[in-house]
Amino acid sequence: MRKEHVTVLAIVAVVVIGVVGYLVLSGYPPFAGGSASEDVVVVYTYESLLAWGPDPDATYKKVFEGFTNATGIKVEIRKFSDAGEMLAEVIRQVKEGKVEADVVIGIDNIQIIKAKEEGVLEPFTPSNIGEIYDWLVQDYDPEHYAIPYDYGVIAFVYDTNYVSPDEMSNLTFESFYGDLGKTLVVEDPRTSSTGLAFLLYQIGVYEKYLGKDWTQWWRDIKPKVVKSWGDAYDLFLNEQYHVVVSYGTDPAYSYFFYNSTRYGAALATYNGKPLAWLQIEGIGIVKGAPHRKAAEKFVEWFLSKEVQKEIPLNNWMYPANKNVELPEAYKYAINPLDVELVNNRLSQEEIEANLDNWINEWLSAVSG
Amino acid sequence: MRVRAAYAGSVISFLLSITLIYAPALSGLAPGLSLAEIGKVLSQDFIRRAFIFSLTQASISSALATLIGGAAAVALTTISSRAASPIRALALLSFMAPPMIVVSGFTALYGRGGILSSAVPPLRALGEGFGGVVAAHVFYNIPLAMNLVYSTLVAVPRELVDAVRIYSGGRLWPVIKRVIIPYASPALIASYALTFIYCFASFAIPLTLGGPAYSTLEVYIYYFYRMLFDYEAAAATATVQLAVLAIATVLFTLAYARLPPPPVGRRVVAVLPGRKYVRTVSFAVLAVVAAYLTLPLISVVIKSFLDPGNGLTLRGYERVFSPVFDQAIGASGMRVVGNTLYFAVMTAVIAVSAGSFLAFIGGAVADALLTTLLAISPLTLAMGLLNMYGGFLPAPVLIIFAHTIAALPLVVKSLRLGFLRVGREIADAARVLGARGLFYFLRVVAPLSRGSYFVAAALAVVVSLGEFGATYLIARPEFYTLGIVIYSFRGVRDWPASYAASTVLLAMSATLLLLLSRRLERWM
Repeated sequence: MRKEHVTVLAIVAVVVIGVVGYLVLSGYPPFAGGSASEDVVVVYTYESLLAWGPDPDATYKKVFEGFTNATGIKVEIRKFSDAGEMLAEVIRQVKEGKVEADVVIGIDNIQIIKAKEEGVLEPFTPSNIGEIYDWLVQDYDPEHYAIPYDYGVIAFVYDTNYVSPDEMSNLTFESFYGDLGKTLVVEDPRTSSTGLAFLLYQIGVYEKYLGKDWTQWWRDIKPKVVKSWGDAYDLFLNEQYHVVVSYGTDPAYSYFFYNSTRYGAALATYNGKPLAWLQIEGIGIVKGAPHRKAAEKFVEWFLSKEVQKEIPLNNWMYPANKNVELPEAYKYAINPLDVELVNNRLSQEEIEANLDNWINEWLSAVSG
Repeated sequence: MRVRAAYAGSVISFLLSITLIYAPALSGLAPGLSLAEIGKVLSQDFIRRAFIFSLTQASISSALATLIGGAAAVALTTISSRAASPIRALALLSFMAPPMIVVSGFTALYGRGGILSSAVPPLRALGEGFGGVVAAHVFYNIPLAMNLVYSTLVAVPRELVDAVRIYSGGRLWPVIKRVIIPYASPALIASYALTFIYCFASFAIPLTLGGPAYSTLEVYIYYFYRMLFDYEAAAATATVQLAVLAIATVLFTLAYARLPPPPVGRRVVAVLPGRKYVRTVSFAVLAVVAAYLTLPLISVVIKSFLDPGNGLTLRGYERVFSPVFDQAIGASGMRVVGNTLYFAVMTAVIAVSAGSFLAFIGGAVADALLTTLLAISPLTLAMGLLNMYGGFLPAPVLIIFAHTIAALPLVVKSLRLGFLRVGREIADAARVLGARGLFYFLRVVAPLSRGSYFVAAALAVVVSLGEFGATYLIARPEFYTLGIVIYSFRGVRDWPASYAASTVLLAMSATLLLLLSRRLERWM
């Protein structure tokens, strides 16, 4: 072959690779698998959803394949390290006008403010909303941009092998000055809904109960901050840190799995009274969802008793559906109805007005 | 005729640089180019802290990398160039290693449950936080300092070394004072400045190892742009960052201009006296540096086969190569591998084509362009590409652009070296026979520098494989690359998969670099 031929062939080959590669990657119809019909629903959630039961795979199948079996609609799931990251991606999709997500699971009662502000959700009232506690729906979002599916309180969860329950009784945020603070791991409120809830808990206690500058606590303690609840819990279970910001149901988890009360949960107290932050997690439909009908069916399925009965032992939160009975282990959990909720003193309006500033101040307090 | 070609070359290079680099960069910065916006970000306490952190960690990392790299370079002169070459190849590998692999390596070795840190807990300091950021930056930049300093030391005239040695009676200090310091100082300053530039605008490393407490301005550019959608704040932060990078770039350019030309085919002069203790110390320095550069990479490979708590596994690799939609990525693993290779090939093709122009006839315009690129951080450029072309060019094209721009400096440099090596006689003979302009380039220069084309293409591929920041800002899951899914798998704490993706990426880069290591040595 003459040299020119080789050159021409090489150029042709490069152009062909370029074009065909591009078409394949950009989902040109003949190469693309997906479709816009209603036989699929795209669900976004965080990685640890329903992942904490005795048999996570089976639960997963029950919930997601169960939906396919019941309706013929396939579920395509995408998992994010935490709900904050998921929300950022959905906001991006809506802003860029390229919406791929239909349903988001895990938007909590603070993130819902941001989600509504950014206009990324569309209201939907499921036919089975009557099964959900009405006070939850009212607290979370009376306009039904998203519907609660579970709730629980944020708590300091500690390992009794390292931290004595005595130390954690009558706990205050001030108790973390000293050694206890060195063993505390918290989540980044920018990416983690747990972290954000904890930040508001701490702000609420300082501003509304103690009347003190909340940033000082962060400056003084400088706790270990990680990206997600999963990261934080990993550090806790690996015994690198002994107090983790998590949920009031964790002792029930510990009892259920290990028949032990090794992991305790404590709340900050004020005048001997425990104070808590209630986190409510909701499910909603994305604005401009490509498969709206399928999305509606999925939301109703997720709120139905069939799925909701999996929540307590798999997501370790209280189910929002009032027809679900709580398992025995929950006698070790902190029931949100038994404690004083800081949420009541920090209104959604106040959070909405200050959240960006609070995050900035928090960043300043923990950095450098 | 020659004048016309040079003129056309400058024009083409100029147009290339305007469309690919200057205009997008400006469009990326534009929303923040006002005193009000800059004032607003600088009034934020956390931005001022990030600024100070960027400055501190970059100063410390550069000083350490330059010192250790410089010492390693001096130590290298005590051994034959043959013995030095595996160490230099290794150094090249760590210098070119994708940032996410380095992150994986430091986590695997020094992080929690790391291979070394489990045995020696204080080493945890190198696995995260301030220490982790600095340690990973030092890892990256030791090779840079080592090679810059080594090539100046190789250029030391033998007569000078002999004269100083006789005069000093074989003592060490006079050699250091009269030979090494004067000769190496431009290289030391240049490598300090260059390392500073890389570290100041570092993204992947502080993002993962630093956390919110130790974030650089580049991390905040991402935060503003992608999480808060505050494009003005992102651009203003990028502008502040640019100001510092520009100063460092000027410093680097001044120092670099004082470096001797690349020593092609020179024999190494033993600069240090051949005393036994000198040899022992040199050997120890090289051994420590080699260990520091290899252990993190080896740990990545080992950890990719370890199931935390459950012995050996191939699960990570199965996930990376799975054709099934992966929930942590938002696309299948196989697709990601495909994306990675596709972007790499396209980057090589475009970067080498554009680079040929810049290298052959770009002249001063090309020089200015390549220098400016140092001051423009990957995220600044990615924002610019999105602002300017995002409306009508699809993401894969923008990613290929970003990778191409990242690869251009290395591509042009290696092509230029190749063109320089086309002998004068051949060039003159070709001209006498009537070869001119494009014809002269295509039929004479390009074929004779085929070797450097391989090197240039390989380097472009390696840069594309490793690019993280710009890709992460631009890409949606269907266009993710292996570098990004290392981070995604890390996010869901699937460590075997994260390390497996790192190992696959490392294998791709390492194969190319090691295959070409002999040629690449001249280039570094």
